[in-house]
Amino acid sequence: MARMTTASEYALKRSKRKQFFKNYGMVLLFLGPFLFFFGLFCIFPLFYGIVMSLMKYSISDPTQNAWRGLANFWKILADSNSVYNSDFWYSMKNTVLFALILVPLAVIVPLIAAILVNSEPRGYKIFRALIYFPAILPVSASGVIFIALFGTNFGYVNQWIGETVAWLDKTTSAWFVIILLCLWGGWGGNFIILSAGLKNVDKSLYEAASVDGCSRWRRAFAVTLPAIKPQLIVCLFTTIIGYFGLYGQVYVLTNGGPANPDRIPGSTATIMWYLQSLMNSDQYDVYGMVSAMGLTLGFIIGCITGLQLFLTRERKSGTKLAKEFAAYRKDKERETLIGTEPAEAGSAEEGGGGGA
Amino acid sequence: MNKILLAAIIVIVTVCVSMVVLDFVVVGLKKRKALGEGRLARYLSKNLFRLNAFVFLLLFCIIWLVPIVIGVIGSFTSQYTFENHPGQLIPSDGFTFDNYIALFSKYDTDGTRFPVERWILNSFIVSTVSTVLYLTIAGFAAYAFVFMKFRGRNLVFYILIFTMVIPGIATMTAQLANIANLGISRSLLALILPSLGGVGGLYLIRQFFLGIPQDLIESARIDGSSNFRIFIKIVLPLAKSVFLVQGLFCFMGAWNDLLWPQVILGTADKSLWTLQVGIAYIASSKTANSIGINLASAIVSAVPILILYIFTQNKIIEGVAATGVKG
Repeated sequence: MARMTTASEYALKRSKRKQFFKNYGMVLLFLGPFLFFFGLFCIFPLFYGIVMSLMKYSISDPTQNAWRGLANFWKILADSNSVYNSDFWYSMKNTVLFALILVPLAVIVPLIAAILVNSEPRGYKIFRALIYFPAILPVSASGVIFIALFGTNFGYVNQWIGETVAWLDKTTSAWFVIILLCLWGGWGGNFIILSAGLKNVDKSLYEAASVDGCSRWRRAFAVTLPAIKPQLIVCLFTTIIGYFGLYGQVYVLTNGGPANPDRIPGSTATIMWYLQSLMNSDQYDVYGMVSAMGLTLGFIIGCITGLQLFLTRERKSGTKLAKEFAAYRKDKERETLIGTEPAEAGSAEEGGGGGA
Repeated sequence: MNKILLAAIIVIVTVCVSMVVLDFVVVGLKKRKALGEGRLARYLSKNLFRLNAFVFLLLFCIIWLVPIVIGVIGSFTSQYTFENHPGQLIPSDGFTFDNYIALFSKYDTDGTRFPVERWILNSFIVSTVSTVLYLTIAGFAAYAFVFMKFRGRNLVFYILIFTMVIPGIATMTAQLANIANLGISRSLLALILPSLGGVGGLYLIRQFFLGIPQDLIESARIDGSSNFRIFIKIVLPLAKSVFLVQGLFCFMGAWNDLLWPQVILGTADKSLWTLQVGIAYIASSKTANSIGINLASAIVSAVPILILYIFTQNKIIEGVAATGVKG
C-alpha cells in the first residue's frame, strides 16, 4: 500500500536517520579502532588457529597445506608412537611438577612478607618497594645475573662456598636455580596484592576477636585468612597460570638443557619452551601441530581460569540485597539533604583497591 | 671468599637468634607481669611484633638485593679479575667501564658486530609507540563503553571480557601465521600491532571511568560540547592517574617481553631484535669469558625500567594492588 508521505513526516524520518548515523557514527569512531585491532589480533587468530590445528600447515610453502581433520589432536592426546605426543607430555610433566613445587612457595612466602610489612614497621614503604623491585626487571636481565651467580668456573656462589658445582648442567640443580630465579623475580606481584588485601581487613573484626579471647593463631586462621580469601584465590590462580607459561627463565638460564639423549626437549624444558622451539626450528610444516598443542594447552589453562572465576564469583543473594538497601538509604539521605552536595561519586568503583 | 659467606651467615643467625630470645623474654616477663615501667619496656610491650618485622625485613631485604648488587658490581669488574680472582666483590685492579665499551663493540661468532644500540632503539620504539597507541585507542573505546549509549553495548563488552579467559598461548601460532599473511612479520609492527587488541587495559580504564559522575558528562553535553571535547577537556584530566598506571604497565610489559619478540623475530636479521632478545642471545652463548659483558648488557636493559620505577613506584604498587594485575 503506497501511502503519500507528507513533507513533515519525511523531514522527521530524515532527521531521525541523520541523528542515528550521527550517534552511531560517533560510537563507531570511538570504538572502531579498538574493535578493529581486537578482531584482527584476538578473535581472528583464535578461529584461524582452530582451522590451522585441523590441517597440516606450512608457513613457508602453502602448497603443502592439507586437511587432516582431528589427526593432530589424536597424535598429541593418544598416539603414544608419535614423537610429538611423548615430547608434549614430557614438557607438560616438567611444567606441572615445577608448578606444584613453586606455587605453594610463591603464595606462602609473599603472605609472610605481607604480614610483616602490614604491621607497618619503620620504613615499611621502602621495604615494600625493595621487595617488589625484582619483579619489574626484565627476565633476561635477572637471568643473566643468575648465570653470573651460578656459573661453574667463575660464578660467585661457587667461589663463596669454595666448590665447583655445575649448577646449570645437572637437572636437579638447574631446576633449583630456575626456582630461585622465579621466586626472586616472580612473587612481587603476589606480595603487593596480598598486602593490599591485609590492609583492607576490617580492624573491628580483630578487636571483636580479641574481646572474645581468641589466641593469635586462631585470629589469623579465623579472621585474617577468610578476609583475604579473594586475594589469595587471585594470587593462587594467576600464579598457576603464570607458571604454565614459564618460558623466559628457562630460556635464559638453561635453554631447556641439560640435553636429553632421546628427545628434543631437554630435562628442564617447559611446555612453552617446547612450543617456541618447534616454532623457531627449521621445520616449517609443523604449524598445524603446534597450533593444536597451543589449543590443548589453552583449553587446560582456560579451565583453570574458569574455575577461578567460579570460585570468586559474587555471592548474589546477600550482596544484592545489601546493595539495594544501601542504594535505598542513599536515596533517602539525598531526599533529606537536598541542596547539599550529591552523593560521593567514587563509590561505584570496586572497594578492594588501595585507592588513588 | 669463604670468610665473607661465613661472616654473613654468622651475623644473620646471631641476629635471628637474639630476636627470638628477646621475644621469649619479653613475652615471659609480660605473662608474669614483671615487665618494668621504663620507656624501653613500654616500647617493647607495645611494638614487639613491629620490631620483629623490622629486623626480619631488614635481613630479608639485604639478602634480597644481593643479586642486584652483584650484577652492578660485576658489570664494572674487569675480565682480568673474573679470570684470576673470581668471586672478588671489590676487584683488586679497580672498577672499569671496559665491559660497557666492549658490549658496544662485541662480535658474534660469524664476525658481525652485535648492533646493541639498534636493539635499544628498537625496544624504545616498540615500547613507546605501543603504549601511546594503546592508551589512545583503549581510552576512546572505554569512553564509548561508559559514556555513550548504543544498542548492544553490554553484549559487546561481555564478549570482550569473555575473551580474557583465552590465554595468549592458544592463539600464538595462528597469530604468527596471521602476521606473516599481513606481510609485517619482518618489521617492528609485528611487535606493536598485536598488543593494541588487549582487553585488560581497556577493562582497567573503563573501571576507572565508571567512577566519573555521569552528571558531569551530561551537563557538558547540554552545554553543547562534542564527545571529543568532553573526552579531552573533562575525562582525560580526571583520569590522568589511571592512564599513567596503564601506561606504565604497557611500557614495562613491552620493554620486558621476551617470548613474543623471540618467536617472531628470533630467526630474523639481528638489526630487528629488541634488547631483550639480544641479551638473551648474548647470555645463551654462556662463554665464561664474557660474564662482565653479559652483566653490563643486563644493567643496560634494566636501567630504563629502574628509572621509571624510582620515580613512579608508588603509582605502580598502587596500580598492582588495585587491579590484581601483575606488573
